[in-house]
Order: sequence, then C-alpha cells, then structure tokens
Amino acid sequence: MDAFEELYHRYKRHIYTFCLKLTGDRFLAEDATHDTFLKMHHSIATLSDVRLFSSWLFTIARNGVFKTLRRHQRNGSLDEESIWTDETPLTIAADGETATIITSCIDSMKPEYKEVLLLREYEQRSYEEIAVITGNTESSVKSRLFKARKALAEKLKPYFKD
Amino acid sequence: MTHTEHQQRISSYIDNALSDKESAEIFAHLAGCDECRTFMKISMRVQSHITGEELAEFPSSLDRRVLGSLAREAAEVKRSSRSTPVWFTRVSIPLPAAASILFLIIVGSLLFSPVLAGDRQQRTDIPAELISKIPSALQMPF
Repeated sequence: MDAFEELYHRYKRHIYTFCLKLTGDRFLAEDATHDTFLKMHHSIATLSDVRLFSSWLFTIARNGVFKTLRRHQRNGSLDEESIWTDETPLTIAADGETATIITSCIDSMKPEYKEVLLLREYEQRSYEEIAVITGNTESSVKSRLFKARKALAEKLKPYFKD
Repeated sequence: MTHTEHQQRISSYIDNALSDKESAEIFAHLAGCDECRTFMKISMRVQSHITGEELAEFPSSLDRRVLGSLAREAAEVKRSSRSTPVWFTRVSIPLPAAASILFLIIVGSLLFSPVLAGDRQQRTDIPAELISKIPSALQMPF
C-alpha cells in the first residue's frame, strides 16, 4: 500500500461523514468525497507543512461541498442572517425523541453554521483550525458557533422543560 | 452584562476557551439565571449528542470509484510520459551558446567547402604571365 492509499484509508470516513452531514445527501457526499481525494492527489505537492495536512484536506472537502451545494441550489433561504434552511425542524421531528429532534434541528441548519458545529464538536477542532478550514477569522468562528448554539437552544427549548 | 454576553461566554466555556476566573464568574451568574442555565443545558446536550455520533458507514462502491479514478490517472500520466519521442523533447540552449554554435557551423562550412577550396586552387593555378596579359582595366582584384 502506498502513502497515498494509507492517507486515503485513514481519512476517508471522516471526510465522507463530514460531507454527508453537511449535504444531507448520500450521492452529493459521495461526489464530494471522490473529488476531495482526487484533488488531494493532484495538489499534495502544494502543501507546505505536513502538520496542516488534515486541516488542508478538510478545507478541500468543505470548499467542494459548498461549491456543490451552490450548484444544486440547496442553500435554500436567501436570507443571510437566517440560521435555518427553508425546512422547519420542529415539523420534521414533531413526535420524535430528543436525539432525533436534535439531529433534525442540526440537519436543518444552514451549512455555514452546521460546519462550525461539526468541526468543533464532532472533529474536536480548535477555533484556529476551523478558521483555516472555513477561511474565516477565529472571532468569526466563535461568533458563528455561538449563533448556532443560540438558535438550537431556542428551537429545542420546548423539549427541555423540567 | 446582558444574557447574550453571558451566553457568548458560556459558548466559550463549552469549548474550553475560558480561564478559571472567567469560568467561576459564569457559574456565579448561572446560579441565579434560569435563561442562561437553559442555554447551557441545551448546548451541552447538543454537544454530547454530536460527539457521541458514530462515523458514517463508508460505501464500498465509493472505495472502488476513488481508487479506480486514481489508478486510471496514474496510468495516464505514465503513458503520456512514455509516448513522447526523443526528437520531440525540447532542448533548451542559452542564446549566446546557440549563436556561437551557428557561427562555427557557418565558418566551418565555408572553410572546408570543396567549392571554395577548388576555387582557391583554380586561382592559384592561373599563371602569372596570363594575368599580366589581361589589360589592367579588366583585372579584377582577388
């Protein structure tokens, strides 16, 4: 097994899961994962610092997903300030259990809010790494994380009454 | 400080981005604030929900697709590097060197040209007495 294949097998599930959660669509996630590893193969020589490899790989995946989403016009709402897509989380998960409701709410968030939550909570990335991956500043990452949490808390409040 | 400002700090606390002093201040506020306590409770529940999720099952068809594309690409690169004939290979020579080589070729071909060599021989073969017979007006300088 060559070095590329080893990297591929090490990161493929993380990249696929990230793409799947961002797109919410298996086929789009497969396309994005495929393109990510092909681009990694083409551009690996441009990586200046090997310690940044995984952030670099997530950046490729993230940019690919957003490009695909723009192409498929999945962003939905044109309202930049909105945190949610057009779907209403509480109607999707009206009778579900808490876990299902949380999943529905996260799935219904706009990708730019979902990505910071996923990178922070799921991939355990630092603010600095998330800023590199998303092409934003650390303060913007912090602010977006807070907005995502605040919006989720508002949506989920009825399910967390003591 | 407003609830929003407290909640921004709670968000940082969840990310382990607060000092001990700042954390203590947050807990002091939480003791008397239902709204911020609810925000923290829900945010931590969301965090544990996301961190507890498994990685998605990777489709085996995607393995074949990715590795197949890469193998095809590698084969293409190999084929294109093999199929370039030597005479199509670009050779880069600095301009002064190229000019010198061209100059040497031209001078060499003139020096060793059989036409010129023969010409020189013929001229030397002309007897001096014949030259003297040619009217001076017709004599061409050599």
